[in-house]
Amino acid sequence: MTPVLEIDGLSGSYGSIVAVDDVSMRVAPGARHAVIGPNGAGKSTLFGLVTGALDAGSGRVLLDGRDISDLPEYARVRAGVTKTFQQPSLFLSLPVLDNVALAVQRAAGVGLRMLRPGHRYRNVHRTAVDHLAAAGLFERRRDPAGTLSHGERRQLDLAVALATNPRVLLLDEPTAGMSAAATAHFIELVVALAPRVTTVIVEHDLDLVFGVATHVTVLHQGAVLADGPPHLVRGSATVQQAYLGDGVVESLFY
Amino acid sequence: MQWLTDNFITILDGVAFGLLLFTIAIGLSLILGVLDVLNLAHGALYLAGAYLAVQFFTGRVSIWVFLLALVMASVLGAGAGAGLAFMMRPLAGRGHLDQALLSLGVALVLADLISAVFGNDVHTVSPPGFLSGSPQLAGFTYPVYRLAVILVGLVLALVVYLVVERTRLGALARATVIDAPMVRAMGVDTRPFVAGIFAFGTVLACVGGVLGAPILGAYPGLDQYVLILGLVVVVVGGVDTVRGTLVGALVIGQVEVLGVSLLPRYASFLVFATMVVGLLLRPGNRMRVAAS
Amino acid sequence: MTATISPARTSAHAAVRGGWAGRLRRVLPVATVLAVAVAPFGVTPPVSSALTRMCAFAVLVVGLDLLTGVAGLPSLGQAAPFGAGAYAAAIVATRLSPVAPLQLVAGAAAGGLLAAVIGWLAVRLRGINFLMITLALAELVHALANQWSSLTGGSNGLVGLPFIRIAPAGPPLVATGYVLWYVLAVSAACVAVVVVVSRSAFGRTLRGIRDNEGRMRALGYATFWPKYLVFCIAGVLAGVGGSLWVAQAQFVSPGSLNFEVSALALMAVVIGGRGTLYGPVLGAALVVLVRYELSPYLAGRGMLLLGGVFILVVYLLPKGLAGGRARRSA
Repeated sequence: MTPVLEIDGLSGSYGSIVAVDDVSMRVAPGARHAVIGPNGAGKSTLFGLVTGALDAGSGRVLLDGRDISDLPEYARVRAGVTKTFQQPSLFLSLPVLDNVALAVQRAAGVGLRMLRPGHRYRNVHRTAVDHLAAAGLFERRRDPAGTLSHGERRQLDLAVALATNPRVLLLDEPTAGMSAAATAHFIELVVALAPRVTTVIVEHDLDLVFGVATHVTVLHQGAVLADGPPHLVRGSATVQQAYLGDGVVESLFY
Repeated sequence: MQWLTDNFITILDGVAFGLLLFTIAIGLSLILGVLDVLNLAHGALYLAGAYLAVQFFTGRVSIWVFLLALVMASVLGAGAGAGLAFMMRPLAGRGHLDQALLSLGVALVLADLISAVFGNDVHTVSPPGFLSGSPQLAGFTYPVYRLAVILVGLVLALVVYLVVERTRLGALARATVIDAPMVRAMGVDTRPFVAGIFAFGTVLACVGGVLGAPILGAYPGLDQYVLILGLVVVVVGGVDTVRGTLVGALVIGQVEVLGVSLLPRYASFLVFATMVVGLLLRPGNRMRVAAS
Repeated sequence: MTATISPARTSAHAAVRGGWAGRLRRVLPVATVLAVAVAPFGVTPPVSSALTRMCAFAVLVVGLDLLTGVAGLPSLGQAAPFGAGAYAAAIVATRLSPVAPLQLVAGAAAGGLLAAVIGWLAVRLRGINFLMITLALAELVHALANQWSSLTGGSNGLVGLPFIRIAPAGPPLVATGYVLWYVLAVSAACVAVVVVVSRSAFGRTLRGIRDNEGRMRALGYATFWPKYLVFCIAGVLAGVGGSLWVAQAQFVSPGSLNFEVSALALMAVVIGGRGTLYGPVLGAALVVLVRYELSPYLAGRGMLLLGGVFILVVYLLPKGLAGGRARRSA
């Protein structure tokens, strides 16, 4: 089965610091693919390289078998790869609804239309409202995004990303700072996304990862350390050592 | 080679003008590079210095009067710089555009005040007595004053280079260009630092005005001329290195002077064409669209 | 769950908005236009001329607000397309025809074309860099106006333009009132166009770019094109403003496109309220009033007063005179 997303020998550096080192990875369609690793392992950078937000030194990115490595970021997003941001990145002065509508209207191809007032694009409006409702933010739709709490901004950020209709959604530490209830809600959401949307999740919450993921890749110092089904990765001594160093290896994953 | 000999005077003029431009542009460049503030009042401060020269350089001007004028320009400039830094502080959270707008308001107010006090006439200023005259120089006559400007400009470039590269203030400035939040996180109290950088830049503008008065004169609208050229130098030379600004200033100075002399119809284009070429050739530094 | 929403009817906000504040906002523009339209019957010709100048300048300013306030591209170079439009209209007036609509089209085309050339490069830059480039390139155009004497009359400009006519066979509009009506009609139409564009999906795109261009790219927008488009639109509007200015002044010189014009336009936008469109229109009137009309009464120190007001606004009223309210959904 063709992987929906394939990363082939991808590398990227900040000046002389190699952040991502020859990483290869295959994401199966409909998978919930987790990327884990200690801090500084290059996980966020990897996402940036995949979507084109950062320039790769070498390597390829393939979406449904098609090489998108030469496409600029916006083109990759149109092709179907979207990522969220570690810190919610929103349009703070615009109403919550507009934040989502911007994503929807672009997907609908009406972003440059000048004649009709924005809200008269019924389909765009309805789709945006639906996304908001699913995120539990319907009541806040007219408030400027800047007035939302941090948790609400995270939810909005996710709703905006989903509104781009991605094939592959890269979630960068989506549950950081979330309450248990919000995390549970988030898990439901991610599970419901398959098989239409494939998710790749960078996470630190290992309970979540091993509860939800169908496949796990471990990064360490920019390179792939382990890659496989959760139960195999869990038991790997090299992975445990990477997290804990050379000290006493206590049980980390159980 | 013949062309060089024929135009030697003009080329020398270009060097003098370039170094004068450097005086102006380096202040602008430091404030922009280190503090991320576009000081649109820079030209008006130059103008203030120029009118200061108008006041001082009348009659017999001894070296003491000249130095006094420079000192006064420095004091004026430092005060203006500290004042601007103080005015900018409440706007720090509001982004760089608001700060640039504030400097625009100050520029317009200052220029109009100068107009109110000195009128709208075009003033020409003679070089101070001890620097006037045009001695013979290898078969050419050349004004002493311009040679003095070249000398002062080179000394200034050296001083600025040493301050930026060798002193703690300079190290802080360079660090701030690279990573301002980190510098703040290191506990450096930014307020006197900001005021210091501002004052350094504005002193250079005012002093430049005094130095440049015998060359450019003083008249309403000169502030805009100087500001534009300063901006072009900043665009061409970048804000990251003193050397870049110096090279940029020398290039623009040369283009402007040679242009006016050889191709007067196209002089303005040459300067801006240089700017466009500079923009296209150096996509790095300030002009790069950062992938965040 | 489907939520069928009629945007204006279901929330508490809408109730407030439908109240006196909302009605005032809808009535005020119409009332202003009507007031200006009847002014010639009650005021002296010089006042009519002043109002005409305000209307012409307002077109320049509202275009700048679309560019700077809505799209977030701060320009100090709008004097260039404004001047290009003024010169184009003047050249048509002296060499071709006194028919005002023809001059208008020439002005719009000149402004738009110049913006298309400048914008192709300028729009790739952001923030302060963009500001610097627009400033420098506008000065280039200013220098061009001074140099190209055969076309522009050099530093003397073009003088003695004929009175405008609305139709080729029509009478020349000699009375200031008639000129005011022509300029008012065109400028009101321009402002209306800008309001429509601002409320459209494109307007929303522009605001998105202003707030967070990086995220827009991450949503799939090729942000160069909306920015380039709005830059050209602002250029067309500035060109229209220039042709209207010339229709009234019957004269154009390099002074029509110097740095001061760009600065005055930006000040009008900021004082009025960035992004509010109507605020900058009022700001334009204020700027023209203080800088040009009242200057003789202020010992020529109109700019000083304006600069002072501008500084105060930047400090105390960053959202301008009209700003301060949260936007409704576009």
